[in-house]
Amino acid sequence: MRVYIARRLLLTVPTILGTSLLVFLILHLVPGDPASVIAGPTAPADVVANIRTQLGLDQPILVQYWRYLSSALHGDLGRSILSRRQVSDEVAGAFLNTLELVIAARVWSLLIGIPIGVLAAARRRSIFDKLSMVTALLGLSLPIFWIGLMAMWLFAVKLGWLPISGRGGPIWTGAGLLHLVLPALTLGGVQVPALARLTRSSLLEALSQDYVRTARAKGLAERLVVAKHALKNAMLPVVTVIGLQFAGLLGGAVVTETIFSWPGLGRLAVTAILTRDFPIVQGTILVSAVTFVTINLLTDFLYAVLDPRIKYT
Amino acid sequence: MSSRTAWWTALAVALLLVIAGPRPTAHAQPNTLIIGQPTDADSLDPHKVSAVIAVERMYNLYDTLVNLDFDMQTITPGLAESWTISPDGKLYTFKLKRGVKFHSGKPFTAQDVKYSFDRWRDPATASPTRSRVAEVEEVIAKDDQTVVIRTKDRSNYLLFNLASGFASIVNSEAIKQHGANYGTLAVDGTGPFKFKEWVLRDRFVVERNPEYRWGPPMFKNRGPATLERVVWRVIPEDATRLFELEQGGGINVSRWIAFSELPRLRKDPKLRVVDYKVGYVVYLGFNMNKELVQDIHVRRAVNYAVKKDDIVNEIFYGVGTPAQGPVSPIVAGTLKDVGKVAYEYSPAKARAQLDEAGWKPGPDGIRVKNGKRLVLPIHAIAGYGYPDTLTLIQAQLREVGIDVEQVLLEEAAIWGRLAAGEHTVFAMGNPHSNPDEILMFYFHSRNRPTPNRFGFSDPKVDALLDEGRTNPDKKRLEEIYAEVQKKVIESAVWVPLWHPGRVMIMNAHVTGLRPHAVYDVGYHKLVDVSIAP
Amino acid sequence: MAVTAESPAARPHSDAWGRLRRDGASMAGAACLAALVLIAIFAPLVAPQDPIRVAMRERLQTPSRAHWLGTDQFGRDILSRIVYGTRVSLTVGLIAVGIGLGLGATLGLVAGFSRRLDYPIIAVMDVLLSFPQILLAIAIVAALGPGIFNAMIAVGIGAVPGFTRITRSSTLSIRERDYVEAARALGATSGRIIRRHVLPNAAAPLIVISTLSMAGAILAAAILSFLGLGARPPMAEWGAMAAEGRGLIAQYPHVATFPSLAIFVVVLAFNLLGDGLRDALDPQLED
Repeated sequence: MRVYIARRLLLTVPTILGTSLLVFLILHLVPGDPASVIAGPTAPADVVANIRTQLGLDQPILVQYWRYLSSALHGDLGRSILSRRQVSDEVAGAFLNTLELVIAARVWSLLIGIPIGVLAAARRRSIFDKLSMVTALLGLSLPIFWIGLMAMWLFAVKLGWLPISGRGGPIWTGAGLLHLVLPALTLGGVQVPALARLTRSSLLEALSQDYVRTARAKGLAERLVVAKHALKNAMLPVVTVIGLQFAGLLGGAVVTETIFSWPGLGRLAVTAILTRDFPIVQGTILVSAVTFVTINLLTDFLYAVLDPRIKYT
Repeated sequence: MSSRTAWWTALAVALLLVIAGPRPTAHAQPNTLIIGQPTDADSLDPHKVSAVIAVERMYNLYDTLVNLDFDMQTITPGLAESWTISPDGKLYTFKLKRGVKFHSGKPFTAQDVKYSFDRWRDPATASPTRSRVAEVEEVIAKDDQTVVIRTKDRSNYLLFNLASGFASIVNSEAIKQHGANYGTLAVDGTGPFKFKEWVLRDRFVVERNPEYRWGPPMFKNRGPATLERVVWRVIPEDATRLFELEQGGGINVSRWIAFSELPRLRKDPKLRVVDYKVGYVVYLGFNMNKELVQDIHVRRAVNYAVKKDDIVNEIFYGVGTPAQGPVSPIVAGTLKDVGKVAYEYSPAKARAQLDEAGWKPGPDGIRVKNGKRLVLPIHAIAGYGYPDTLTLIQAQLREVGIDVEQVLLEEAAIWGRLAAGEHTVFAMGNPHSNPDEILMFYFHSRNRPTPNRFGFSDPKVDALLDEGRTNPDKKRLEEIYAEVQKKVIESAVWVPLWHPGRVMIMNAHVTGLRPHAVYDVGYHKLVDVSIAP
Repeated sequence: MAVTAESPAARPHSDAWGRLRRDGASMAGAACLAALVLIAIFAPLVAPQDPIRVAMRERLQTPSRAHWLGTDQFGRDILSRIVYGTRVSLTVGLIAVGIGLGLGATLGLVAGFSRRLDYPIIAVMDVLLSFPQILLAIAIVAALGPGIFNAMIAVGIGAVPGFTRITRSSTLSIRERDYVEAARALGATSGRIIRRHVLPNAAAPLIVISTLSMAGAILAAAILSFLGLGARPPMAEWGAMAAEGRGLIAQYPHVATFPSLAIFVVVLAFNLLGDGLRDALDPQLED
């Protein structure tokens, strides 16, 4: 087992390196010049060239990548071309903000989605089941930007219950929590239908397995059957999907972050890509890759814990 | 099962708290001006930036030697309480105010002026606005209260440039101490507000400088500001910004509100809508190196076919004026009888030009010549109203048989492409407070390929523009710039589109906020501003 | 989750069709899609007005007789733009999924069959997957330039890893089967095995994933356009229409709402059909 984990960890390195190189190449081979953004519309050509040299952008690509890599391995991810701040500071800050949002969204979607799925499966073909699944299907199909705008318009503007936008501060403050509600609701809301459906179908599959029938035949209470045996196994695919979705959420939070002015990683990455702020893009992709890989590992680990049948070669 | 009930109860309680709890609003913080903007500034080091958003903050954190008055023509004192210019125009002597201090406490002297301007001019600093002080040869700190600037030749625009935000005086100690972090993690100036907090892309906060006693005569309040704090909040989504201003109280002033909302907002008693003029022109520029638009008939046709009134009235709800020439009418030196040489709206004349050039209408209405369709690709930034404008122009040009392809790009991508000359036509705009700022940058042949992205070259124009910088005779200057503007209009290298109007919308409680048009900042020093309870 | 498919193909499919036909929701989805396809093909006949005709005097009108869904800020008829937008959205779905399927399934087959190429392909897929899909799409669009076609490519490339994985796992599981060993022993080539055994069995999950991916692709393209990276004006694309209308939701919510609802309808239809296909092709099949 330990060998397996060690090997997996080792294998993540080429993945992350590969991702970083790929992004670097894409960005630099793409037309776009942050030096001219800094210089502004009326700067003469020599001034723009001056800035470009100062930023080291006139070196050949591989030289630039090498410089980047060697500093990165020393913990220096460089400075943002436009904001001049340390990439590590900017990205770390944005990442934590997005993490806040994503975890809040995740928590509430799990709290709502899984119970609905469980109940729907337990009361298969009932009105509840049909209604919740139909609602889930409808919810899955609505575009997230419209949900966000409508939620803001209804709860913040018309009803005035919640702040309209922005991050209000650390999550342990009242203001911080209040500002988190709408964006988390929007982002999480989009997850609820999928989770509910997945929980339901996976639970149904588990319930039809042999060992469940055996448990039922033995005369165990239905609730116990569901809870102890079926649920545990049903959670496996759910756990996998939650893991997979997490990394996706980092980028998927882009729309939510834009609408609610949440200073998160998604918004940072988009702005950086559009302004060709290479160091920031590298930083955000790095964080994203590491997160994805970590979550993958954790998911697999959890999988192994939940299902002792799985062996690792 | 009790643990499950406990979970649900906890959730319900949390939700109740959230709904019932108090909502933080701007008015929870008294005496704070909260400005709403769609983007953030990057740095507040005056020698590292060129963006308008940076300048408006720098005017509050720093002071400049001189200031441009609200009339956009008069130079008024700043840190320099008086100055003299030698008869040959090459020596400027400034007498500096006494008792001025930086926020860090360090006293301000002529050495700081020398340091700031030397750093600005130094190629090693790579300042984007370096060309504004290209004519400065030397800066001398004669004594603590006197600064002398020597220029290569007489310069009509030096003082204007010294009033710009980029001429802000910085503290050499602070720059040495913070190095590359100066301007982002630390800012030290002499201005009426001190740097407090900056959460990038979220909020930028400054607080009152209680020691401030050297305010420029341009403002009523020469002492410390009335406001305790100013916050710049970054809100990228238009609808969100509007909500925050109108309903939430999350911001109490903004210049960035959709014009479609103006008619309604003007009637709102809780708000005050202030219109003001800026020196700004938005234009379509032709790249004369591209064969398609080398024929002046095509350029004239586009000039005749664009209905500028519609752009101003329909897209910008009447805020602004149609442009006939390259220089804004509120700027001194603008061509007075521009109407005589400008192109009026006339689809008939446009069609005549195209007919004359051999472009015949094809089966779908788009003109064809030698098997080629008349398709104009127009580059523009994907934002700031350009997409809407291009859509309207697209419809207008279609009427005379010209097809338009919109090439919308984000800012980082467009400048590089324009510098490489790949464009045929592009749409852009620029603030200016004098004719030189527009005409020199864009039409002097030595400024090709950028900022003269049009490939425009006329030796007569070059000579006139160069003379305009050094000849002090006001009458001659008027002639010079009139001549240049006429030539530019006649060559049809541009289609001047409109001169934007500006609007500042504020909460009715805000008083003393007078918009300033310089560099299109809107917010100059906020010393007169207060918020009535 | 593994595919519980059985040997040679014919049997599940005939049952499947019957099951599908009896599923009311899926049939509704299919009917809706058929209608949308017809609308797309006959758009010029269906749309009451020219979708790009600018008429500033008529702008921002709420639904009325002249304009059933109202007009946008340029006075363009929203209904007509939505009708023409159907073409764009369906094309986006087809091309993006086409790229994903074509490239992804091919790579998945190769990975499943060739032990040598398996690891590199999976490594590349992992790299692609460690990008959040939106960011990958944005980077690709930034590289290629904005435009609906490039958005399709971006979304398509983003879909490739998913298809690769599904096809690969299908291939792997089929490859181990006895009858395949037997076929090989009898001299069947890889190509024949792919055609006769792998593809028919991979077909089921691939059909389901393709259908559901269409929904995802249309949504992703709409989001790209919403961020300003997809369709360029004056093209009538639903996401771009919603983006243009988003600043107006305070006073004129219809401008952004109707295109959003159009997206909703199409995505819902594909989801219904996809669900139904999944249930029909194998009642125990899950994602």
